[in-house]
Amino acid sequence: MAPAVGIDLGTTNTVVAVSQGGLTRVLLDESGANLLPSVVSWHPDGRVLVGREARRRRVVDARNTIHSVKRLLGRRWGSPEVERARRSSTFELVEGPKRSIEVAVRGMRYPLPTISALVVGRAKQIAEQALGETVTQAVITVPASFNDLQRSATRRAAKEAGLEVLRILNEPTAAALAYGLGMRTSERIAVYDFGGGTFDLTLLDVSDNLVEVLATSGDSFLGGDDVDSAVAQVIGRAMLRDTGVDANMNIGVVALLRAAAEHLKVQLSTVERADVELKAVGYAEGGHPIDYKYELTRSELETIAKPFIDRTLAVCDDALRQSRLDVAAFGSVILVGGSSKMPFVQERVEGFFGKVPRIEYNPDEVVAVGAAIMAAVLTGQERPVEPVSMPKMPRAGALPSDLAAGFAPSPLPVVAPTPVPLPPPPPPAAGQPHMLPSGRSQQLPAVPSVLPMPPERPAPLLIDVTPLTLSVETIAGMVDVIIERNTAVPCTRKRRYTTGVDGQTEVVVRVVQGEGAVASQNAVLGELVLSGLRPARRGDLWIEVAFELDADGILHVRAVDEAAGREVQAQMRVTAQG
Amino acid sequence: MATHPPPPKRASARPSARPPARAAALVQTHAERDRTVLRWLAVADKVDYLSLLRLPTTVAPSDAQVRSAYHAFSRAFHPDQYRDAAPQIREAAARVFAAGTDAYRVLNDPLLRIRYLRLLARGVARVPVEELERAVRADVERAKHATAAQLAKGERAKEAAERADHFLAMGELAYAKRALEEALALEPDNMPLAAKLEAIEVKLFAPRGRKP
Repeated sequence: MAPAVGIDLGTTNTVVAVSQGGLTRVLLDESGANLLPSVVSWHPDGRVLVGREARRRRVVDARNTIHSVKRLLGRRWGSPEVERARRSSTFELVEGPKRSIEVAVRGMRYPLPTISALVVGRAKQIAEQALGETVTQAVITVPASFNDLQRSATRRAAKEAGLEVLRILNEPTAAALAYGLGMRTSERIAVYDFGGGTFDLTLLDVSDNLVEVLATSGDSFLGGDDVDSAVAQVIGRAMLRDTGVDANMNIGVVALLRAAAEHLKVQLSTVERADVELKAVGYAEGGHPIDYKYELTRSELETIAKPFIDRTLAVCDDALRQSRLDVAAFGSVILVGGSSKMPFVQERVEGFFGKVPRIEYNPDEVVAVGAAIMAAVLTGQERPVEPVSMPKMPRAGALPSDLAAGFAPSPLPVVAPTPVPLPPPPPPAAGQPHMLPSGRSQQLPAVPSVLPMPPERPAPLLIDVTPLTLSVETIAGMVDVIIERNTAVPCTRKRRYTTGVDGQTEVVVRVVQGEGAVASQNAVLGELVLSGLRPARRGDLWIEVAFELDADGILHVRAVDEAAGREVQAQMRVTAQG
Repeated sequence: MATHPPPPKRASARPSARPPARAAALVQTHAERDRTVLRWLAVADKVDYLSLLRLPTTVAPSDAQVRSAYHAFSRAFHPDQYRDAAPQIREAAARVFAAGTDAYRVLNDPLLRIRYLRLLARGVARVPVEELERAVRADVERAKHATAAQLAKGERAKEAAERADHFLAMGELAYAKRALEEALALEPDNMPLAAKLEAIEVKLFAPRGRKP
């Protein structure tokens, strides 16, 4: 059977990797490239180009070359993020059915998951060529901060590309899996993921083959692309000053400046100064093309990038506050995402966390590598996830072999129980910590003395949290919180609702996601419509709604009509097709 | 660069080194495992959260204890561990795991935990998490809009709370915290007051991220 692959579907680049026989490798395309640009271009001759060929068209045919759709995936038309993207987009975004977003290219309209599906399809093709087998299963990664709609849209994109999705995996978790961190020791890890279009900081607690997400915080509109735009603007201003050509007058020149900006940024990771030559940015009198040469130094780039890096550190601060952990509590900081290749970023991260961040794996590839390991584990190709060799920081001594042996539960509690007074402290003399009433143990059943011991399996277990609060919109546009932010999944919460009008036969429950106190500040996930209710006076009919969040972070809603004592057919109407 | 070398083989990492008695205790047949899961299912929705996570019930557990207890619990009941089990066992394990995840949610959050442990001390073993969460949200909301003195009930607690308000007004969070702790020691069941204290502790907490 063909192996399952891991796909890191990124904003800027997509990477596909496979783990076979204990060896994990990134799969390369025909030309030996590891990164597949997440770009799709509609060529005038009717071909649909994906990847590097499409990326080249960004300069010459910006209008018909679609990129960075991940930022918009699963979002709704009219939301601030979409408005913002529309202003700076070089291609045309239009409103699709049910307030979804579509791109208009050469007279056709495509929903965003279709664009992503084309990229995933190309990744699948690269994998099949490299492996010589048909690939049908994959683990796909998404940012930890992705909401339900965004995850669903990603899943749909993979399905459209003909792949069965084994698991939607969080990118930071994948990165930690790739490093095999904490698989034998216990430690907390901060994953700093500064990609092309998004920034995410995720705090993980990893112990003996188990990964727990402690907190996650992010900004889905903060990435290397922003640095490129800022650099492009600087070049544009200089060009206007020096040659009198206004780049903003020509969409092709805008794309050219962006490409030049990115080129400079990448160059400046290894050299102190770099230059680009822009050909034919405009035409002088007599039709002579105007060329423009621009030079940038690393310190100038750092000045331009600083506000963006400051914003990433503010997000780090937020996540630490949420988890109430000090930077000193973290054993490792992992750098992920192409933008963390900038030396300046590494310095700032080191300054913030007080330790040298880990970057042994290529930050572009590490997520795909972790996804591939997860895919192998899920398809039963059991491979112990071993820590990768760590030249900079030698690992602590090995644990006793019985702790290393998979899932044999160690006797509880692991930490010797020291009597801790019940909060609130301090009752020094009173000494009345939580004492259970005597005889309680006779009234309650006792838990079995042993835990079940599932067969030893080197699968990393993932304990995930929901990144955003899930609520229901109630009367007057207020929200009724159902599942709070950073609650571990899977989880189920139930809530009873009643009718508000006499004789009401239909109830609409609108599910929103976000931290706003008013429903309109949050993203609408969908509507649950309960119809065919027995007509009754308002307040007489009770409906129990169960919200179940599964291990993939996808929400299932069930509803029970209590009066009839039966489960009412509930339809989840996803209102945005993203 | 794209190929990652196979991990170094670790010799003798497994059973032989283990003492025989221990080794026997660590082996369970599938049938034994399944029976154990069903025994857990029978009590999972009834026992208190401390017992469910196999934590001692006589003292309030530390954060680290709660976490490692839940991790051990997850190793035993996580759905990924039952992919190959019979559907009935898979469902049973999932239900036990969900109960344990609720226990973790409650014991891992400072305010949910205080509220729950106070209830437990009165003999209430289980309350739906939703109800605890809603009560805590109400406490937090009340604490936000009231002074400590308004939240305290008894005379002595009010006196300590007034001091706390005074320190809060001066921005002396550490002193305010001490005064509030005093008030709360007098009224351990005053949950809005506990929420007020928690809000101060959150403010006092600085992750110490250095900003060059």
